[in-house]
Amino acid sequence: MRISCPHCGERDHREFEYLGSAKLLERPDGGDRAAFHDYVFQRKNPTGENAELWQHVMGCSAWLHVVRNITTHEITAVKLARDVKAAAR
Amino acid sequence: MADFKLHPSEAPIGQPIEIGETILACIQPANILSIAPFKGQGMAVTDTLKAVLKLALPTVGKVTAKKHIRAMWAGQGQWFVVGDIALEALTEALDTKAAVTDQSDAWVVLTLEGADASEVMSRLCSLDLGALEQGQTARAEFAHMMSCITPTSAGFEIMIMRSFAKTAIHHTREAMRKLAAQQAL
Amino acid sequence: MNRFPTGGLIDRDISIPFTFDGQTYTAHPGDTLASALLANGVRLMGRSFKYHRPRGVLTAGSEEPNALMEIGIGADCTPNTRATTQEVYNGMVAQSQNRFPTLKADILAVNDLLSPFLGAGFYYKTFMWPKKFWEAIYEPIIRRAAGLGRLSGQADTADYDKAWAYCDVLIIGGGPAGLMAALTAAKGGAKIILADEDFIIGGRLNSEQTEVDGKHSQRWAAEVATQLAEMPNVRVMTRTTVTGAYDGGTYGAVERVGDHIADAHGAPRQIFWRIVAKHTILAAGATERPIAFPNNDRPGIMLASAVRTYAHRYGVAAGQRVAVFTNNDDGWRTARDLMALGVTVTGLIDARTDVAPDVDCPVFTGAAVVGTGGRLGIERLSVRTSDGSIQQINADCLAVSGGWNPSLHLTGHMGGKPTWREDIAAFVPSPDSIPNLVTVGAANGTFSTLGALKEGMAAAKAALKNLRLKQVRPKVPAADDAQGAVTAFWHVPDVKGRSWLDFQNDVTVKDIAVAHRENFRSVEHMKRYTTLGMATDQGKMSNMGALAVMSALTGQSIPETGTTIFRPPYTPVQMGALGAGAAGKGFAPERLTTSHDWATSRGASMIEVGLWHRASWFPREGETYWRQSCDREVKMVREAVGVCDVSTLGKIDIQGPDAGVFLDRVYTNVFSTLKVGKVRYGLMLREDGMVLDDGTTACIGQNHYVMTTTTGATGPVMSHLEFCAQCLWPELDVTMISVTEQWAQIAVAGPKSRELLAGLIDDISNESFPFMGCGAVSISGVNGRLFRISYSGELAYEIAVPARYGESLMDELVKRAEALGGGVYGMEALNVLRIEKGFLTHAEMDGRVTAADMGMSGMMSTKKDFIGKVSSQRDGLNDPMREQLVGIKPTGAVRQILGGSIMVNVDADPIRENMQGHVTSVCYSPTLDGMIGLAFVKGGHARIGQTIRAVDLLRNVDTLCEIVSPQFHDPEGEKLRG
Repeated sequence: MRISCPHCGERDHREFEYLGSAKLLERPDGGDRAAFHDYVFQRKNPTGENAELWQHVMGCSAWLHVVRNITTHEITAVKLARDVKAAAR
Repeated sequence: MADFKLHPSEAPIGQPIEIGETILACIQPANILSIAPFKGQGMAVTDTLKAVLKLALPTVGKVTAKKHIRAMWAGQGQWFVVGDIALEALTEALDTKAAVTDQSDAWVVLTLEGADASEVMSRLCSLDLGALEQGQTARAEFAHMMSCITPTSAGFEIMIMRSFAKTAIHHTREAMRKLAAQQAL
Repeated sequence: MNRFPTGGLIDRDISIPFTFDGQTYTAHPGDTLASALLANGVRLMGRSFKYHRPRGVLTAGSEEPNALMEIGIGADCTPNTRATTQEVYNGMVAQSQNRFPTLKADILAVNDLLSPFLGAGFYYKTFMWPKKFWEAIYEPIIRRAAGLGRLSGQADTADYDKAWAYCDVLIIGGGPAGLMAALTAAKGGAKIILADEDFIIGGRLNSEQTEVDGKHSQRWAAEVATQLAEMPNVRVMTRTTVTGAYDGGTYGAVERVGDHIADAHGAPRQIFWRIVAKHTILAAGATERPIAFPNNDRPGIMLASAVRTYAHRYGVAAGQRVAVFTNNDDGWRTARDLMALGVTVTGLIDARTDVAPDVDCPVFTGAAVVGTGGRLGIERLSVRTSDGSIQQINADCLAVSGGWNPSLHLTGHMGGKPTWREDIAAFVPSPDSIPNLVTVGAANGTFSTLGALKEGMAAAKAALKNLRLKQVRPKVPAADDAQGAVTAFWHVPDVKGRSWLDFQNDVTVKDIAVAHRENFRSVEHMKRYTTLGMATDQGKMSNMGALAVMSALTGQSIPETGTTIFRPPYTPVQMGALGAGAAGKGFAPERLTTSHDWATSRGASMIEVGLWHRASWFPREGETYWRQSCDREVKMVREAVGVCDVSTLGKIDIQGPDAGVFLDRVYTNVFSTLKVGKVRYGLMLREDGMVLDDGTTACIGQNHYVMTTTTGATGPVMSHLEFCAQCLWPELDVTMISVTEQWAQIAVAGPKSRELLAGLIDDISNESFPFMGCGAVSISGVNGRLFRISYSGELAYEIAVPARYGESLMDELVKRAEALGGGVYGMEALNVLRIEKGFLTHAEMDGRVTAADMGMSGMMSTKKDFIGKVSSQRDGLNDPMREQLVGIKPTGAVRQILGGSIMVNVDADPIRENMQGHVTSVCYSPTLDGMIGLAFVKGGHARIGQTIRAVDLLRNVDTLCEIVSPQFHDPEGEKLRG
């Protein structure tokens, strides 16, 4: 698999580490335990396109927001996670 | 008071290693400074660097050079200035504009040169080396280690973290040996 | 001798000696082992897998199921090598496999007589009782009797390599379609790689008597190959099999660099390539398929295409009197070609009724071969003619052609399903099975030479267009346009005896019927029940035939029956190639401290901590056992002064206006209040409330911190911090960079540590460097940093200097320590010192413990949010009966405690249900003169003073222990503040 890092261009997946669903960007504010339970543990199990977080650990160290079809492994969009997070704010 | 002198360790490669059509050597720049501009300070940092070193921060994936000093992109929001630079003066000049961190001892700079440098690299590094032009630099995996790969007129400069240097040299030497043997067939 | 006087791509002027089963033969350059053996009149090349039936070569390519050999001797021996692809080299030693004592007289051929009991699924039914006999008796017997080549049992001494390559267009296969594609793409300026598994480019062009562009096809192929090799944008890779298609245009390929050479002199035997291509043109050709009829596996029975290959490419007559059995026009071509070379064709048997072969030999249409005879090779065959009569024909070779299967395997590697084409009675790749891959030529079901050339060119032009490169219009050379007619014919019906479908696994038509009868009807079930399509050829010869038989039995069409899934690799890949560079030092990168050589020169025993190599202990003269060194080193630190390289701890430089706020959010405790020149111990949680790591962070300037992490957690912590900064709070103005490599850091610990440092540093007073103080220092003019922190519980410091001075500083510090009655210490002593003090490592912070479990709930700030805060409030994590950190020491007769022991109450059985906890760290404490341990015990904080047992059921140690505070040594912390 190859991932197009917005900084570094297309690289082999060996340079990246996978974290999990991009839902991890949405850390709840405040101390609501139910909201944190949902944030930490609850995940959808989708087929098809899925937003994920990867880090380009062997490259620029940027965290990436990767839209990947988990059936075909086709990657349709890669953005910097910080930009996605900032835009959501 | 100190009746002794700390002395630097020897470079991980003394005499350049020449096998077949490639030469592996080690150069140790006087300083490597990491510069990470604070928010909104990119232009201010570039202005300061221009004033102090006559050098601008390059764009992502690029290298700029002025005489013996180079500025290279080194990752998200991070640049390395390489050469004989006064650390304290630059830190002071960039105070409140950027995080300046001494990395002079953190990296070992290897050079791989010669007609087969690219072919040897292809054994060690998953980068598309043909697409990497002079003036560019890449943070990339090199034999399972983090590195900065910078093409030069004669081959490549490979920056490897100091603790990994011996491993990197071992693997590079092996790749050189096997390639030379293959070509001798 | 069966060698024609002229013709073929071999050099008759040079003779190469080699041995097969101990007998010496000669070959010529350009020969494969199979062609050389045939030239020498050797037909018997192997024994079958299960029944040990004599077998000869069936094919002339990598799909060969029968002629598998052991090549080389000793550690260099490679089993299961296909004789059809192995080039002969000077002095090559080849041996047949799976026979005893010899190939000609194999006593296990008795299995063939037992075949009624050894059919499909026999091992599921036959050897069921008694149960205990299965592993002890039946399996070893079966394993001995059934099999492939033997492993040498020695480590492989050959070199292998791995490499990466990038191209605009990857062309897989150098036959007519591939060559035309390569030529077109190359002329358009694309960067191309042409990979072919053969050692000569040309594919079938080298195997046929045909013309391309008005010249012999062999010559045309050679000329194009030369032309390509001279172009700077072309990389021609012969002996290179593309073995797998993966995501993102990545392909795996094996290049056999040294397999055809007697001594590679240090060159890699094989290189495993990862080729990344923007476009791929699959021109892998097709393989001919056999027809199943009784005793169709006798040596001398070969594919018609192979017979032509041996004739045209190797100048070898596969037989002197050849018969041909076909269901398509290629059979006629075979007969004609052979007769033109002076070989007698004793009969052409065509299964089709409505054809009139124009071949000058005895012809039988609407006929079928119903049996063969001969000892260790075919001598005669029985033909059932169209009127039902049986006719005997003499032949020492029977060329069989059952039509062609496109080599579509790679297109299945990403889950693509092939499409059935009735007109050629074969599956072809479905478009877009692999993104950006186009199949052309015979691999696409286009069997004529001209058709292949045209398709290759068209695919290359499409790729050029996509790449926005120059469009070129090379002339399509004149070539044969005959596609060849075929009528599906898989096996001869209504016959007695066994008709072989899978030569490699000894599967017959009847075995498929058994599978059907027993309801293993889906192709995947059939495959596993009969073992059809397993082993080295992966069903290249057999899958289609078996599918056809199954489809006839079920009454479904072949496309309804479906195919099994093709997975990588296309042909077998040696483990050595896959593991290239990963043996020995290649297993994992080694991280060495600056004092590594210094430590090893002092005889230090090294231990791996993550990727780091650290000194475990430093034996002194007379010390023969690690504990002697360790105990001495611990005492040194407690009583005088010890020196230890702690550079491996992660060091992260954190700066920025929001650095303090950032630290407050990632640590449980507050850091924004930390003053310049001060150090604070911090605890970091994961978002689920479990402990991630701990360490100290120093404030070395305004908005400037240096964080330390444990050695093993450096990478994960850095990633975590970057995640927090980029994904959670991108608005915070904070930067971070690892300075682990920049600084060599050395701990100086013990009551005499200040005295030691006083000789090096101007002002080391308690006022300047109080406990948890830090600051810049100069050591003989080198700028360093000094931290007054302690991981031993003693008065202690850590000095950091730029890494290139690390070794020098280490040497100096140890010299001075030794002068004070101390010296260097290693990881073992460090571990004892920290256990005595109740300090933690990841033995305790194993990802399942909370701050409260470790007795650190006081470090959880209530004034701010931090990672893990909310989750750590979950009810389950605040259960008072959670396992909590305590110390333990033996109180009974047994004085030993073992790490990993389970804790049970004094009177309880040591079983899981009764577990009260487990032991995480143990050591012999020279300070307390006895073993001590750290353990997690249910409700442990409230059980101090109680008695409990530590039980190790594996090593049979059962120790009565007292639960104590984990701070064994100096619990008040007077020493480290002193």
